Amino acid sequence: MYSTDISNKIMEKLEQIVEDRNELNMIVELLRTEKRYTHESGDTPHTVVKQDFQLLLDKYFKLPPKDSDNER
Amino acid sequence: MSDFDIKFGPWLNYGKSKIGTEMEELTTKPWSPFNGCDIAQIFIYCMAYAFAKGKIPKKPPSSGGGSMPASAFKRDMRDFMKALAVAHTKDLNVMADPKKVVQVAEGYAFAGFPEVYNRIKYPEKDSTTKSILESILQEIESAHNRKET
Amino acid sequence: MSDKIRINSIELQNYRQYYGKHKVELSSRDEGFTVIAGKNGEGKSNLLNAISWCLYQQEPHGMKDLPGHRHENMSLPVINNRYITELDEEKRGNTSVKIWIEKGDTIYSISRVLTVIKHKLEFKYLDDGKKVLRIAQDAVDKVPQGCEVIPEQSNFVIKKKGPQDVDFADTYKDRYPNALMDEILPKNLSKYFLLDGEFLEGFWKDSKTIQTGIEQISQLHLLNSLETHLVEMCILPKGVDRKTDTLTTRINQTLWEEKSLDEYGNEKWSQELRWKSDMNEKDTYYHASGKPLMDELEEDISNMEERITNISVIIGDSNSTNMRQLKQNKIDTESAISKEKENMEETGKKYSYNLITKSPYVFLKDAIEDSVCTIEKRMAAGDLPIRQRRQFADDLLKRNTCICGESLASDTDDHNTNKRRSNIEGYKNKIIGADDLDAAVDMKYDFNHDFVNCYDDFLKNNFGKPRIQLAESTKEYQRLTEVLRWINTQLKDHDGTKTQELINEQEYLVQEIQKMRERISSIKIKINQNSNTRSNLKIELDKVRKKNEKIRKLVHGYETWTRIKDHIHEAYEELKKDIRLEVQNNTWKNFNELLSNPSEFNHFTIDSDYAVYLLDKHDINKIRNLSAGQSLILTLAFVAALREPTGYRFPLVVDSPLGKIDGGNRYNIGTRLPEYLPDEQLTLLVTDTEYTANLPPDTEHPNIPDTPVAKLLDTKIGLKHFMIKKDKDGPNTGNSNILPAELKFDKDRKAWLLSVDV
Repeated sequence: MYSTDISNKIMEKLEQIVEDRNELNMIVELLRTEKRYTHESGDTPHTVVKQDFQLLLDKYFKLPPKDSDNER
Repeated sequence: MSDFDIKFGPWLNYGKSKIGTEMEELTTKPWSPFNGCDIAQIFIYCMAYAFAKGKIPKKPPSSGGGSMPASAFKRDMRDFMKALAVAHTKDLNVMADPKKVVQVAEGYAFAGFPEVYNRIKYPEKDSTTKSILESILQEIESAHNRKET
Repeated sequence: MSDKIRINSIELQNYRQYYGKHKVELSSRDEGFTVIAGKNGEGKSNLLNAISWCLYQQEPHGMKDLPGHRHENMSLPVINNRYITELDEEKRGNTSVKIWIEKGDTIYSISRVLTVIKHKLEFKYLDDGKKVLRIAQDAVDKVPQGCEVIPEQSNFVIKKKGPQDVDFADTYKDRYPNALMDEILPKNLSKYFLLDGEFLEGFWKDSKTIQTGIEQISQLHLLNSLETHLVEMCILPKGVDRKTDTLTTRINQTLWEEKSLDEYGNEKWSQELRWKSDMNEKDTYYHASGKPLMDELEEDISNMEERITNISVIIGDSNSTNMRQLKQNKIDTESAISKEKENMEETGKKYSYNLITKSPYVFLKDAIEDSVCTIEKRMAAGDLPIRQRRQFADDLLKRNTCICGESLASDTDDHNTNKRRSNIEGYKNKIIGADDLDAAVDMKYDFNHDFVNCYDDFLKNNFGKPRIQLAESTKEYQRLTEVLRWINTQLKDHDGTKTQELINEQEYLVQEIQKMRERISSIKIKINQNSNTRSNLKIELDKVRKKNEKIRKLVHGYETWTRIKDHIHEAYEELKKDIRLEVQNNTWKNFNELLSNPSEFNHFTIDSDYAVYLLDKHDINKIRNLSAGQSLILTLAFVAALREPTGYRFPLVVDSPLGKIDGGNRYNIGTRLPEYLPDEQLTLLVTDTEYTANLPPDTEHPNIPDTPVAKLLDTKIGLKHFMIKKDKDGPNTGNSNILPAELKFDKDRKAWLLSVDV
């Protein structure tokens, strides 16, 4: 069940395209972040974007240990 | 009545005078509606034109020789000359005097020739060989109609 | 689906022509429509302005300041005139608009207050001594000159009350008000739910309006901006490890070649022109390499094969019996032309001959008539013909007897002794030589016969008829010449020369197709090679990266962002097209249902660049030439269409929905509007004329009932009415009030009216 602040149309399309659950969850959060940016006045600085996105990356795709066999 | 021998002045002869040159042009040039015609036909045409336009007959120069035989003029042409002579002299008896008839005819022809030549040689814009003669005919016909009304 | 949203109520205080406090409670969609009626200039459009001013501090509707008229502006101050006049100098006063919006199960109280200190008001004095209040130019909100805005006491505040809350709470600590407002009802979407029916012509003039509507309401703009940010995240910084960089570059190069991109990610094109079947089409170029090039070659091969087939059909046609028929027609026409040419020349010659030889008759008409007349007189007098007199004399002499019986014989043979005989001989001698005059008689007969007695016929036969014959012959000749020219053109199209050209084209196309197929094979081989190379390079890159932790982290991020970016890109491209087409098709469907004469228009398209085309029957794009009524209907259709694929919710306020609309369309709107946007709150600001007057007769729709739009709506949906009434006397003259009203039938006037509850 996804937040109603992202349209159903977009959600349905993403579910079609994105097979990985983690990726899908991350994309939803990324879109919410984008939505927050649009409501703020002025352009969001790149450093802020990078920081926010990095946090999400760490949350959903934490870097596996060096010798892990699960590495992509 | 016997045909008379019409002794015309040298002004009608080919190539010996200015008019002679112009006459040659009218009978040979492609722009002339008289191209291929006899000199006699041009003579009669100019004569009749001069009468219709009310021109005064002019005595042509008499130097030199040359003549046109009566056979060059068909019967209707001779009748034209006679009618003209009668109208000019107001005397029917002139018909019995061929010399006089020719004199009158020549006078008119010589008076009319220059204008006829110029109208053909220097026509109005967009005229054709036929349309020059057509417009002359229409002018004179209109003048007759105006006179009658 | 976004939350249901409605405007619960609007409260104005000393705003424009509303002196004091005025509150309007709007009905929900379940309850029906809210209709607020008022005459022109009484404050309808300012209600729309009030909503817009409160939410966004803008008043887009109605008159604006004209450029070059900075000191003689047309707009009125935001603060009510009576209020500011009554306010003492150096005292504070304010104007405010408050709106309650319910979104989902949360109610927002949104208020905007403008506070001023009134100093001495400034006026401009006219030539006749009258004074005009000056309005300050530079403020965002228009106030009288002499009033000073106090920013610290002017504010924009949003409070909210959730389902569990007892009272409204400030939201300032959580979000800035403007940002929160944008979440509730975004400012850049206000043109899609606050519609001014009188100013909609400009709606369709700019494709950006359509793009914003579609992309922002459907949130596609989020995908677009996310993709932009992800592109920045996908850049693998250089210089961290040279070997990694080199391998990465080589991998990228194989990708670029495969996708025909340059190192900056832009599409790469060759200088080679693409084949086109229609010379009038614009020139296009092939991509430089890879799959895009392969796709283009395949497409062109398919088009060429189609052209080859078409050529075969054309060549087949040209060998039909048509050509034999044409050739026969040519022979017949040439023969007719030849005959007509002869005829033309002959009639021409005859006419020319007549002009030369018969004209002298006309020229000498007077002379001929005179001579004929003279001859006839002489003949009547017995003078002519002379030969008759001579013949008579000869006869007498031969008979030797006169007609009186006297003898004319001579006594002797050698000389004449008879006096009478001598007289006759003398008479005969006198007239000898005058024979020539007898020719005049013949001449007279000839002239009479040929000319004098038949002048009109003479002209007709010698000039009129030949001229006509020549003209007809010439016309016929020209016609036949034209026919021959046409036949020759037809033959040329069918003859061997044209056929050979087509055959040559076919052969050329076959060769080109062969070459293209070979190229496609080469490209496929190259793609495979690239893929293998890429795989090997990746393996090598992985090995290198595993050794360096920093690079590992960067690469991990890069790879993840690249995957996400690709997903977003794919979703964006597909959704853009899907939503655009859905909005396009729904707009067209809605438009046809709302418009009373949909047959005028044939087709509606929103192109991929958001350019809009509304074509009539002659394929002319009428989108920039719509009437105000058509523009409003199309906008309503579009707004309804936007809602369907996006699920976006908004309350709709429409000012003057019927003002510029004819009878047929008003009827349609009155009967169909209740079905539109079934879950959205709809508020209409109308004039009484457009709302309660009977529908105007429409010759194209003779079955329109004699009833007002109000009753049409009333039969289908609940209506809550208000009237704006301007005071005409007393201290409040010129100011307006919003009062509840009822729709009633006035029996005296036999008309439906809105009357204010007393």
